[in-house]
Amino acid sequence: MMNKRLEIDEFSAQRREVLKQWPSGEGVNFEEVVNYHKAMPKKKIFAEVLAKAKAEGRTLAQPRAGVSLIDEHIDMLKYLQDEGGADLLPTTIDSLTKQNRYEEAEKAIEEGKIAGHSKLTGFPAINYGVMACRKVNESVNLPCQIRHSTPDARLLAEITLAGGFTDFEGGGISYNIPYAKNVSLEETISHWQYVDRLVGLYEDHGVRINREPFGPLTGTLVPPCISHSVGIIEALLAAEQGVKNISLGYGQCGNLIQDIAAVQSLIELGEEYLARFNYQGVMLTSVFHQWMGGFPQDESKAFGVISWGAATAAFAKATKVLVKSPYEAIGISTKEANAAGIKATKQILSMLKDQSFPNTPELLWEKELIKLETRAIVDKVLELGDGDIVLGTVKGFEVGAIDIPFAPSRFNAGRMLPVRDSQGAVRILDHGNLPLSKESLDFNRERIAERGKEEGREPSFQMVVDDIYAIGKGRLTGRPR
Amino acid sequence: MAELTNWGWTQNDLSSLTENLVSVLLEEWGGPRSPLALKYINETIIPDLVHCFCNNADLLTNSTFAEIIQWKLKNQFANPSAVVVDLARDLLVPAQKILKRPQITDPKEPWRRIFRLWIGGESLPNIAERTGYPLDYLDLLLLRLKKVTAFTVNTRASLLECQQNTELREFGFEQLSFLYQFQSGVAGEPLYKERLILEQVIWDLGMPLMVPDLVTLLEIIHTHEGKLDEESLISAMSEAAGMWGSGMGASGGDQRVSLFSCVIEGLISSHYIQKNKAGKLTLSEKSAQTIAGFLLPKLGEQLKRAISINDFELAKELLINQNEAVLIRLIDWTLREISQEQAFKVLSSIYQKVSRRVDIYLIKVFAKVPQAFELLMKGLVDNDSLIRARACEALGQSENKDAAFSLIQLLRDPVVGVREMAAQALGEMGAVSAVKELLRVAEDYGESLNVRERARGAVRKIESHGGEGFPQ
Repeated sequence: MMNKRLEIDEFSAQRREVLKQWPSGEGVNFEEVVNYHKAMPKKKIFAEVLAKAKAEGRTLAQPRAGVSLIDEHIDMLKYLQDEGGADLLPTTIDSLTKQNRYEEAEKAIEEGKIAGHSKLTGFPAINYGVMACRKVNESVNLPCQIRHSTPDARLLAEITLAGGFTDFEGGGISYNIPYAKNVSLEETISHWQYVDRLVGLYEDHGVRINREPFGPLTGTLVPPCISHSVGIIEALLAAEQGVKNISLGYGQCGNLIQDIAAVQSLIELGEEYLARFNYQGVMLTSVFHQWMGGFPQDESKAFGVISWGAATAAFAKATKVLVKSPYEAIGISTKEANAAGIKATKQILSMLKDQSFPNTPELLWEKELIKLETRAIVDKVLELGDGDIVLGTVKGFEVGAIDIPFAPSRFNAGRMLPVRDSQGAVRILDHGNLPLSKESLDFNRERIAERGKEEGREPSFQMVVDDIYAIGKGRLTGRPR
Repeated sequence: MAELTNWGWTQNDLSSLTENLVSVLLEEWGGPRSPLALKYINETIIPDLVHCFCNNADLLTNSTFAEIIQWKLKNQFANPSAVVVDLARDLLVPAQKILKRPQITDPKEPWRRIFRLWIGGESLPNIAERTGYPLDYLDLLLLRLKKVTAFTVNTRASLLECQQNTELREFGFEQLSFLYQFQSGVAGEPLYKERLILEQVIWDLGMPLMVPDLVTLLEIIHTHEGKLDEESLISAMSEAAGMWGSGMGASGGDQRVSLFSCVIEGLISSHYIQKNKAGKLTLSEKSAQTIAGFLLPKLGEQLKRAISINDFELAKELLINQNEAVLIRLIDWTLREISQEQAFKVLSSIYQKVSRRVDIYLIKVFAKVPQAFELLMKGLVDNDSLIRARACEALGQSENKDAAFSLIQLLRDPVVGVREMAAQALGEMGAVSAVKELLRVAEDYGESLNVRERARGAVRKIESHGGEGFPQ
């Protein structure tokens, strides 16, 4: 296994098997799909809309949403488009499809029809098939993306891309390590090479499909260098398979300077590595995820968190911001709640669109630090794989040279431990086996020690836990009361 | 009837559970492995889970309990939300292997336990401590209850209508129907709250009692308040056993005596009943408050009977012999159920015959009883300043301006609290004649700030009444 473009014969052989996984796979006809996509207006093609926003320096707002009954799903997307004012639309896939349990999803659809409302949180695209996906896309005026968290998303990609979706989230690392306890990286990287090759094939035929590695990973105090490393590796993997439009994601940590530095450095690093491996003509855009951790239950406080995310995305000039709902903590995901989140976000984006954040020494230093740390990790991964990013990734995770905090996977070392510093930036408390330089480690240590001193306590796991829940309790840093 | 069961896990069970949880968390699953994290897992997470599983040993196969464990993992122990369903399931497996209690699979049971504690006045941190459930989960449930209540209060919606509401539907049918029934019970079902409180007392005792058993027991204590010791109570309970049906009283002989003894001990240690200086049993404040609702129909009937034959002495005796917390409920009942004239006649006969607390309560409820005017006026010159203050308050609410002169006098009472209430009362009754004196008080820099504030408020109120003769 290595980072090499799949030969067409190999891909086709695999494809025959993939399309047999569920009867709806038979509805995929590559040539017909190419023609279908080519007939689509530009305003409904994700990559086109992202490219325009990037050129204009605008930040687009996209919610998360998905329900199991198709009419209800369309109704929700239309509401988010018309009432919420979303710039881009999602279709979040249900949990059974994510685990390739299509028969159970079928049952849940039927139960939902009887009950008159969705029984699944998410849209079971595979069960519905190509034509139903097209019905969804044709019912709205905005580009639609598939969001899921499926380790093996080959059939999902086949059906949804054939169904007119023009963006597909995920990756062999980002949809494995933060989600699954016992799925090997070899397996998922291989599955996602297939997805990327499929996107690459469409690209070869003039169909622009955007790919988006999942940036926030576990959403639990992930330092920028970790999510950047994963994003860059998945971008390299995608580019090798012929993908030309990639959105690199980052999950908000909460400290303004660090978050702006992270978004800006992410694209710069991505371009640097794509150039280093001579991948030409790849358009990189950035995605900023509003806070992915625990939210306050109080609606007004939740709006505060959403608005802070919106402000950071605007200052960072992210191409897209993924919006949260004010009822995040209460477990209510109605279209009205989602629309409220979009409206709040867009108000801030609009107010800040002509303002830019100055290149202060703190911002420049933070960007340099993130780049230094990310390069140290990615270069080590490459070294471990003798220049091959696939082999290096597998070995890198094995030895903890790349290590995602709080990931449930047995294939992740879990030695690295993050914590906030006194200004709320996420730092590295225990670097485990991350190959960071002395300069970087000293800086992290100093900043954490400073906080420990202020709080009169030794940095501990309790401090980390306090940080994780701080935003839900109205603060950024989990200081003792 | 609950059955007596061996609820406890042996030391071996606990050790084996601990070992298995370690194995799930550290071998089967990935996750933080730094030395600091390992220390936390071993010293905090695992003991907490063991404690929680032990406390809920009859819910280990309950779907809501599994959901609560998921919440613990996500909101207490830093696990990403994407993994908590599977991780919780894996953590419950070792506990399910040592089931020693009959399992309650009804998904509403954990919520029932939470709300039983909550309705009894336990704080959320205490509920979290007692159940092992995460505070965020408890917060969320209360928030959802508020949403259901707000929706049904305004619309008088049925459960089906609630289910059609897109927000409420997201709670899931089981939880929504539980919250709906709970709020309907609290709002409209007589003694619903009291029954839940007594259920919790029984739960805490861990005895095979039912609510009517406990009600009977407390009723016996109330009837013979301060007269029975433990032994005589046991014998009284044994006599009552026959009418307890299948409850605790139905057990036979020595076993019954021993059970009664355990129940009484338990109630004493939980401060539900208490011993007076002579070692005789009395109800505690909280048990009397809880039991009062159950006693009212019978006591009310007796009171009505006495009044109907004009035996006010008997009615007075009946009232005087009640526990104070019960008496207060009976006073409310009397004013509600008996004609105002008769109610005042019987209630005024116990004024200054029971306790200061009862007198203060009587003054409060007499505010809306015109016949009580003279009694309230006497209250204004009582030696007890609290009585004077409450009498002022009640006279203010009665809006009888005949009291204005006396109230103006009380603006010079030596006790601040009385002066405050006098000023407020003058405002409430719109006593124009008091304005001059109230203005004097309001401008008196030597007077307490609260009194001056009340005097100013009173003047504003009188002004807003637009009373004739208001000084310009």
